[in-house]
Amino acid sequence: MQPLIEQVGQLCQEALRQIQEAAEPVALEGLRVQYLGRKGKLAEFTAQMGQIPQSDRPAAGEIINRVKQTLTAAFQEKQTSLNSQSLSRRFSFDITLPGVPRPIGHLHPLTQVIEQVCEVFEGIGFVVVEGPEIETERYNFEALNIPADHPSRDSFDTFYLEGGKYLLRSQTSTVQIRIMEKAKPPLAIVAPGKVFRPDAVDASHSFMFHQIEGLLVDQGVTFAHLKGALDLFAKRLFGKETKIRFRPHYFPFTEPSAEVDVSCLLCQGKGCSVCGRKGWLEIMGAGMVHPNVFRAVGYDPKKYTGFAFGMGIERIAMLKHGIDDIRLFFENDVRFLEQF
Amino acid sequence: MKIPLEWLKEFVNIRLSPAELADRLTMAGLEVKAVEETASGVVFEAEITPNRPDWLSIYGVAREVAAVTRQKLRENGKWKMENRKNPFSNCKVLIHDAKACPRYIGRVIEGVNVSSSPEEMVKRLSAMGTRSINNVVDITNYVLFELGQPLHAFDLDKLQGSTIHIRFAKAGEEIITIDGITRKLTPQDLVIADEIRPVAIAGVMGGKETEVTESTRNTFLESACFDPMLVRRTARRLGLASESSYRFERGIPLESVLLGSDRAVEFLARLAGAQKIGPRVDAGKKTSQERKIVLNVHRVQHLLGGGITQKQVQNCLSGLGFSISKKGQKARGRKQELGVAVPGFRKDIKEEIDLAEEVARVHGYDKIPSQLPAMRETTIGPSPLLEFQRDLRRRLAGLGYDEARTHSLTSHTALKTFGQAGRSDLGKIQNPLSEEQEWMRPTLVIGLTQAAQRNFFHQRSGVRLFELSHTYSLSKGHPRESLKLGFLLGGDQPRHWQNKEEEYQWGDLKGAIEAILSGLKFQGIQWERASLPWAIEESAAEVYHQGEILGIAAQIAPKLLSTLDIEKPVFVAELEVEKLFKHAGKETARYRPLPKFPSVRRDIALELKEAVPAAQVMAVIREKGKELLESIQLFDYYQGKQIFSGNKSLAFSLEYRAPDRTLTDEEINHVHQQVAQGLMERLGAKVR
Repeated sequence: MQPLIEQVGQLCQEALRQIQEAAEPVALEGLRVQYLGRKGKLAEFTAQMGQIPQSDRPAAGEIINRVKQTLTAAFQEKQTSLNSQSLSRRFSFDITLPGVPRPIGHLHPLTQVIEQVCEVFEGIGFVVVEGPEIETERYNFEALNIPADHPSRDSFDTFYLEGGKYLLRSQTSTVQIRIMEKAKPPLAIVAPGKVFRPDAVDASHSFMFHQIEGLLVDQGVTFAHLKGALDLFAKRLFGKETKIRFRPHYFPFTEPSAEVDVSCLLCQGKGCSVCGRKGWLEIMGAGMVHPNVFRAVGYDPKKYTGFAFGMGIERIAMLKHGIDDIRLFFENDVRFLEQF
Repeated sequence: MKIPLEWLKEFVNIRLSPAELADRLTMAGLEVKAVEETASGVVFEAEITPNRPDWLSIYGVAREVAAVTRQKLRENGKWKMENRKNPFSNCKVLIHDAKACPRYIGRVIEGVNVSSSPEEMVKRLSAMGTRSINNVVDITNYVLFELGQPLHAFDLDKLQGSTIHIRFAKAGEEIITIDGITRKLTPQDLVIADEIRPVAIAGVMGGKETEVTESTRNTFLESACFDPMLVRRTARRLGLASESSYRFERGIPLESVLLGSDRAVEFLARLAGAQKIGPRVDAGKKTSQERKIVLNVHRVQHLLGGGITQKQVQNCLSGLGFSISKKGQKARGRKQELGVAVPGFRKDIKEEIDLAEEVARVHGYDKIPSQLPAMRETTIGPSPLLEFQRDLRRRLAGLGYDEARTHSLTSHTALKTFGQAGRSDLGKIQNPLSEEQEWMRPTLVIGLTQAAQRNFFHQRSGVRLFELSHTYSLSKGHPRESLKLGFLLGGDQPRHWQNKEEEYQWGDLKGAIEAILSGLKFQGIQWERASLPWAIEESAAEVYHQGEILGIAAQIAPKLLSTLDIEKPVFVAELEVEKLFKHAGKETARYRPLPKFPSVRRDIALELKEAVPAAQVMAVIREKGKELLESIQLFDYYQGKQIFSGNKSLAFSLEYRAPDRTLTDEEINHVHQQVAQGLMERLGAKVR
């Protein structure tokens, strides 16, 4: 009995040393077969079990089993360690190596601003709509209370198609008329789109640009509601601290009319070069829908009131992002587009 | 308009600092754009909106200042000249059309001494941006700025006869205007004429032959108002805009005609030594009909949303010169109606809403409360097509395309380059400012290619751009707008360390289209050969779904690109958004149970004639693979030394599956064999 225990112990020590020294998975596997294989050294001891006295057998069996467990665990441990070593040899694992580029596109900054503006108003129940870009005098002027040969047309230089019957809309207010003609109140719409004016192109003028028009018509709509809606809009778009100011102005299709200023985004109203030291930035025109506009679409101005507003998208994008040249929006230089 | 403060102070006390006053006026709608320190003191630069011609004078602005600062306006009566009774000169004024000229006051003034104006007057005119001419002309300009009434002084001795006609020009008549230019007149132009010829274009400009010069001794002074529309049309047609026409276009009140004439006469007597001043020859209406508007205080309060009392409403209006009488005060109801009489100079006030605005702006927009509207469900719901557009934009950005926005107008040159010039359905702009704005674009391809050109010019090696926007055409003279999704791929793929630099290929464009269409749940897309004037012929394709064309795709012809200095390959596609929308799967997706049994992949490599389209090969595979064939994937395409020249090699991976059982080797071998056989028999393919 005693020699067997000693022999098994020696075998175990020897095996553990060899496992420790094994440098390759192949060598390790060889050792495993050599010791734990079906015809391995440990199996030889088991085969000798019959030669020892009956009474010693359980103890001898237990010893052989324990050695078997110890070696199995040692093999496993060494194998794991060899595997990970070989992996780290194959890959250098430089985590600072640049990744494989996956190109991602960018939405145009004007698209982003249009969507942001629309989302604010959609959030309070407005619906986004669109109208045609090629229009007639009726939608661009007459129904909007801008009669022919009237000085109020001066601010709306307009492209005409040959023949003079059609024009390119010079404002998105046209959509007000389009929608009111086909639907009854209550109405709450925002209408983004392109507009055109024959302006010489420079850093602040473009013959094509974008506007968003807003219109709310229902019973009991007030000037206070206009202020409330636009105040919320300014805070959502430009930040909670933004203040808003209404200045009386004239637009043919609204009355009372206002130009709407927000506190300068750069200096927060203290006065800087962006706001011309005024502390305020003009961002849109607004007002209560003129009764003549309601009359033009067959609404009863005694029954319904409404407010409307319109803003230039380029201007808002320029203020928001500090862009100083309107032409950049239409040059589509990827170095510009990628910044948004 | 310029407003010198020291001139303003003649009519109203100003206790505020210039900056404070500028702010008060701006917040009342008279926008002071700039406050300038000049040699003649502080001058405001104001923007006067077209509804307020009554602000186009120092006196008019003073009236507003008085109203918003609660000061008294100096109704300076001293300039009113008595109308001298001793007629010493026969002079008649004949208005031919009362609508064209509602009032005309003429006056003969004899013995004037034409010389230079006093320094004070020269200074004030210069502050207004007007050069001094001589005392008589300066007086007319001075009164124009002070009271807003344009005047004209003729040299009396150069007028023929004793009757002044206000009439329309006769066909063929001409006049040399003060600027020395001969103007052809039309029967739509209103003129001032003596017995034989036009001597002034009404409201626009006087004639050279009858202008006041150094040698003038006697003058005929005109103060009038004309139909704003006539003045506007003529001034526009002749390209002659002046301080006078600007005011006439916006409307001159009848009362001002007299005021202006009297004020000028006073100056002529004082500063030009006028010896004999003739009687007013006053033709036309003397005063405008009094306009009265009924104002419902409650309605106004309600429209503004509160924050203003009836007393404040009344104070605002009376401060602006409206006279108020309580009218129709209903004993029982709370309805409070006011009768508001509108002064003659407020031609812009026509109905109650106009008064509401006056009240709101003088009271202060800042005093009106701010409140979110109570929203009700609207009659118009969200547009699925707009949602679709938002979705498309995101898909394209996800595929790595940058969104472009190009101009809707284009040039003849660009159209010609892309073979689009001369199309009969193009919209043409009647009044372009430059040749870049002459035509409505019929396609997004031009603008996108130009954008690519710009990027290549900036040394960019590759671009991916898309645009979702309108193209335009005419159909029987009526415009049509079509929503298109254009995208462009050009130059090199992004270069990086795991990939050698390679140029984009046709397959990259087609892959993007397929990705979009499959994302939109399109099934059964056909690609057909097409003919596009700007494309490489073999590359031009049309994309069809259920027999309807969805769009086009092609590689742009290198010859065209070389005219744009582009040396890299450029691929473009243009899809019809409304058709995509129409055919895209819109139903809520229904779940299909996942397969319960495994699939088996088998590859097949073929060598066949180059001219056999891949679509045909796949059609045969599909037909022969029957219902067991789940998917086909091309994983290799080869042309080269290892195969016969004129042939190509295609390798497909086929996936077989049955829904109700695990396929046996035998079954798969059988069907795969059928596929191979079909390809050999039908297409002459050699299975490798």
